[in-house]
Amino acid sequence: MSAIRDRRGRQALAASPRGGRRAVGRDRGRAWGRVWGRAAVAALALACGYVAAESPGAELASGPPGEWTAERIMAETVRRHEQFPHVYEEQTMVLTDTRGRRTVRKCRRFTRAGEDGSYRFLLVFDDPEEIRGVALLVVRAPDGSETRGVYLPAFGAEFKRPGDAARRGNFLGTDLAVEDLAPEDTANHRYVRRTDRTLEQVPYFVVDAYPANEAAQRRTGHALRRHWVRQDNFVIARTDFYDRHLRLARRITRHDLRQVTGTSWRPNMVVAHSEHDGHTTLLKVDRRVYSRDYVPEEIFDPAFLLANGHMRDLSERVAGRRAPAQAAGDGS
Amino acid sequence: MIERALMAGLNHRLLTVLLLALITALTAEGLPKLQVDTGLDSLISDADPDRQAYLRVAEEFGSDNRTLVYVRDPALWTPAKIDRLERLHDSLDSLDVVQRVESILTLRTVHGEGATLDSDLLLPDNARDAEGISRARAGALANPLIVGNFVSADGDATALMVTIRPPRDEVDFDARVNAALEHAIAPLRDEFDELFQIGPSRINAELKSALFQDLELLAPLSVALLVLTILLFLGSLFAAAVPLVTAGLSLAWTFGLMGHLGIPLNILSAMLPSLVVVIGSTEDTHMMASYFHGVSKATGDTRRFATRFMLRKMGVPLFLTVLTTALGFASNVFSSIGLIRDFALASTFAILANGFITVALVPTVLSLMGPRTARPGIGEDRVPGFTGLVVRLFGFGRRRLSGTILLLTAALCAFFLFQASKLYVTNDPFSYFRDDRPLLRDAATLQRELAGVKVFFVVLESDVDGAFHEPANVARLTEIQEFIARQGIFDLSVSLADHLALVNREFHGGDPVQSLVPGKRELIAQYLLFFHRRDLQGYLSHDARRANILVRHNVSDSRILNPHVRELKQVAAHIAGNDMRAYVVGENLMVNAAAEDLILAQAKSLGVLLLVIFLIMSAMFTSLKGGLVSLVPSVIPIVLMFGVMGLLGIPLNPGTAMVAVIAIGIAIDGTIHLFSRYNELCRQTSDNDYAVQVTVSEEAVPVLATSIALSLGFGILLFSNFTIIAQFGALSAATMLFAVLANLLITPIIMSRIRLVGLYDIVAMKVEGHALENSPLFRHMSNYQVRKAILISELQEFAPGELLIEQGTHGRSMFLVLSGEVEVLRHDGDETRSITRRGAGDVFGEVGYVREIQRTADVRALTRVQALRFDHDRMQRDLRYFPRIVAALNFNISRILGERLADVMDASDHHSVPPGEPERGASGR
Repeated sequence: MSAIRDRRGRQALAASPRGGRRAVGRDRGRAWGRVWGRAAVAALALACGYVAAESPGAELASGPPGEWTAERIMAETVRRHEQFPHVYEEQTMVLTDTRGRRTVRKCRRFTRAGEDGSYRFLLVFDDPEEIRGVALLVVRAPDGSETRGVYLPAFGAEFKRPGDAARRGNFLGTDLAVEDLAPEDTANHRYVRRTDRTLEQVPYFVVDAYPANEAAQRRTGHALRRHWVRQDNFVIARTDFYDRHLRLARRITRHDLRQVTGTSWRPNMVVAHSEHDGHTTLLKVDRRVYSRDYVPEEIFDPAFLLANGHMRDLSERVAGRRAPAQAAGDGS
Repeated sequence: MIERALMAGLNHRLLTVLLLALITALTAEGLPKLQVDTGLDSLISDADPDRQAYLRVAEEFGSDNRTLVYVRDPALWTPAKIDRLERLHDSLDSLDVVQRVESILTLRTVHGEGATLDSDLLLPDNARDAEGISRARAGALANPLIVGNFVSADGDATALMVTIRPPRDEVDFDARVNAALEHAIAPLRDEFDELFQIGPSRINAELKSALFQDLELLAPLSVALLVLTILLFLGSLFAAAVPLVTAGLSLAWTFGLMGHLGIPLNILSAMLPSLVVVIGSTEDTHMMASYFHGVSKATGDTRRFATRFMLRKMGVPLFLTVLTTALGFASNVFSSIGLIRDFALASTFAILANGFITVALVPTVLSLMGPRTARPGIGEDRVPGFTGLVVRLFGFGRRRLSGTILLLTAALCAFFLFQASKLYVTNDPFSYFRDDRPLLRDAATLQRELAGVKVFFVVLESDVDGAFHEPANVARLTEIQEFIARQGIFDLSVSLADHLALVNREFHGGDPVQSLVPGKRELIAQYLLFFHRRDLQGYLSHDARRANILVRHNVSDSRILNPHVRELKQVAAHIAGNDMRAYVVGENLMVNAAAEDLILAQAKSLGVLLLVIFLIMSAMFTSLKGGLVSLVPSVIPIVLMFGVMGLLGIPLNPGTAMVAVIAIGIAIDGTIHLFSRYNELCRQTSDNDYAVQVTVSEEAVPVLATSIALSLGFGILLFSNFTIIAQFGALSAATMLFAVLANLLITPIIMSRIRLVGLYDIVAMKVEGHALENSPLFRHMSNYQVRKAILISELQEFAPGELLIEQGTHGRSMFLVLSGEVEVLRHDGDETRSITRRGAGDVFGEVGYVREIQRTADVRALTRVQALRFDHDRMQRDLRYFPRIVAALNFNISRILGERLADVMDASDHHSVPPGEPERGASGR
């Protein structure tokens, strides 16, 4: 892909995620101290609840890296890391503009993944107070089609349904698109493996993802996404987004990777950087819980949302159930 | 000392040439460092109180250094044209000087219909078919943030807004940006009906290119005209070559020094070559005329004699005129506008350098290779040709119609003063260019279709975080915008309120009634989630304490813009109330606001210059009233010039603002030359009218030659690419012609009514001390007063046997013998007897001076006699400006008369002296 260039026409392939790596290192150092205390509980919970069916420690179990196809690599990333059907996260969102001025928001994210490939998530803003209760609901059907809804409590009991544009564009003032928060839609993408790269002594698979059909093309905002997949744990550590002129438009890097099970990892920090305007959105996971109770079915019900249920009842409900919850991950 | 300095070029020729060569070599080293500055920053007043606020606002809400790329095509909204537009967009976006490109390809829009709400790119990548493009067009025309801003009302024209990457202070940055933008646009120019770019980079690049065109065109034209004019008046190629050499050296020194000191060349200092050639040549022309005068009187070594003659005659006036001209330019040195200040510094140095080079080099050159033959009309009482006609015509007017002329001049000045009251001021880069410049045509085209390219900001600032989530505060933005719309001169204003109103409308299914700011704080905050920070960056600070209204316009006249901006500031401050602060700022506004400073600077410069010239002239002519009177011929052209500006609607701008001070500096030169020569002649004759006539005849050629040369030289500036330079040239040319009228008609009329004494004459006068120290006429008078009194009197010489006073005649003159011996003779019938003899220091004829009576005796020269004649009427007239001297002289005359009366009384009592015999020190009655 020598044709791929950034928006200034420079070679993009030589770019390095050094900054991200350093951030991972720093956060990791700070986080370990806090994590040790809960490690035993988390490990126990994971071992009992979700990981029974998995055979851990199967890095590159099926052969040397050279034999992996692009599709297989991507399938493996999904298989390893998107295996938990119920995930509840408390997040801090930091929006930084080109002059370094920050806006901080607090939010909660509820995710439910179905075995049939369906997927639902709800993002609820809690802070600042003025935007408390604003909710974004995304529901992906098994066939990949998606519906979205936005609820603004201050506007009234009405659910607005954004079109496909909301999927590919920035959502709610961030540098992230809805599609960035959902698992990789492997069914609707064509993957091409590129030359492996090593950055900071970490070997990566480099996989290009193209929309596989016209519908997928319409849904996505990019002509190409280039995934940098770590060869040691199959985490997509970096994704570069290219526009239809194959110029680098956006980059997402994932940091503070936490091993949830033997093969499953989750990033605790995601950084999206817009090449166009230098704007950055940092998504920090303050707390993550893998629990059905924390992600009740009704939370995805528009009626529940319109009744402000997500603002009133859920906190009490979650608080009430927190003690027996199967908490995993950190909570840093 | 002055004389020694003036003669240095003549007496130390080799040293002079070496010194000039050394200075030239030193200054020439700075030439490669000379920079050109056409940036807008130099047009902004340093004292502008909004400068800091502007920098803060620009830092917060983004630079106003934006270029608009205008595209017009009836088939704009077709896949083929959109594809080409995208190529254009990408081509611009890929430039390293470009920070961001906003266009219909990047703009986002919100669209609500029923329960659906789409917020997407106006022209997303995946909807570029005919249907999608058609939908986008409709969306654009329905979006108040896009229509008129990025897309014309008919949809056929659009603009790409290109934000230029800082810094702009890189050398030649604007030229580089402009070239890059043009390079990106050029290949696609044929793809659209119309395509051009317009913005600060193009303005600055065009300013610079026009500046160089001016330099290439105007300097050679000035030289050609100067040579022709001098050839016409002085008939000497040598005389024409001298100013070129002095001007060339002066310019090399000036530009070299500017390079050393980091003073950039700007659109005003691009005039320097023309100005130095033209102004510098005036002194050279006066000197050459004087040199030819010397040639006509020379015997022996013609060159050396004529050069000495020239220096003696011209030295002091030359010194004075260089000083006053330099002061004219220097009076703008303290201007708060960088453009004017830099020009003032450069031009002052250029004039001083030219004066120095002229004094040093011209005598050297003339003494070595000056012409040996005189020129007709120079040194002659009767001037031939056109100049002679002017002299005779003005002479007739002066003699026969002086009262009428003064009256008419006063009436004319009153009329033009009234016209000057209509004068207005403007300072906008667009107004610098000629109307036919493509830049201005493009700006007008852009404004017809879209909002103007000029941008300013109205910012409201609160101390409270999230203040602009409060509906009441957002409503203040709307209120200000409504006022801006009512003002009717600005094209467009966009603010946070518009964005919120748009989202509110679309949340209500596109209902236009709902196009208003929501009334709940929470809803505003929640609507704002629909915008990316970059979309709001120009309108709302990250902490929502400050909100910005972006205003676009195309007003290029400070006279129109400034009052509206002032009004807007007042209204914004009123709407902001006590809990907020309001700022109305923009680079363009500061440039226009500098127009106000121009008036102040103009008034200050004029005042300072007039005061300084008044003081200098008062000192030089040893009289405050004399200083005042000598200003009149300079002030008249200025009054006429301002009147012409008012009459013809020529505004005061950075170019025309300098005309007055420069013109005064130049016009006073002619006055100084005339007054100097007139005083010299007055010492030789008691006939003032004759002195005036000779003065005018002698000075007419250089005055007329220099004034016409100056007029033509300034007139050359009409060919400038800049309106302000052309206006400067035309006005200066007219002012120079007004100065001819004033100097050859008004100045002589004033001159003939007063008598001034030059300080230099007083200092330089060699008084035979012993002869005068003991004279009773000068008793108790200081040496200075004695010299001044002597200079006011008339110096007469008498051959042996010649009568100074004749018995039986009536006369009101008194004499003071300076040298020689006289005899007092009394005739009684046929008998004549010698009463007494008198010598140096003696006074006689004092009774006739006081009261007109019949002379009682003859006074005859025994030897060759030099005597000062004090004529009663003339002394009364000429000495009215010197009351102290008059008082001292009158007191001494009274004392002389008193003593004489006492002596007569004593003689009557003691019969020791025959009646009527004069006492020592007084005789002749």
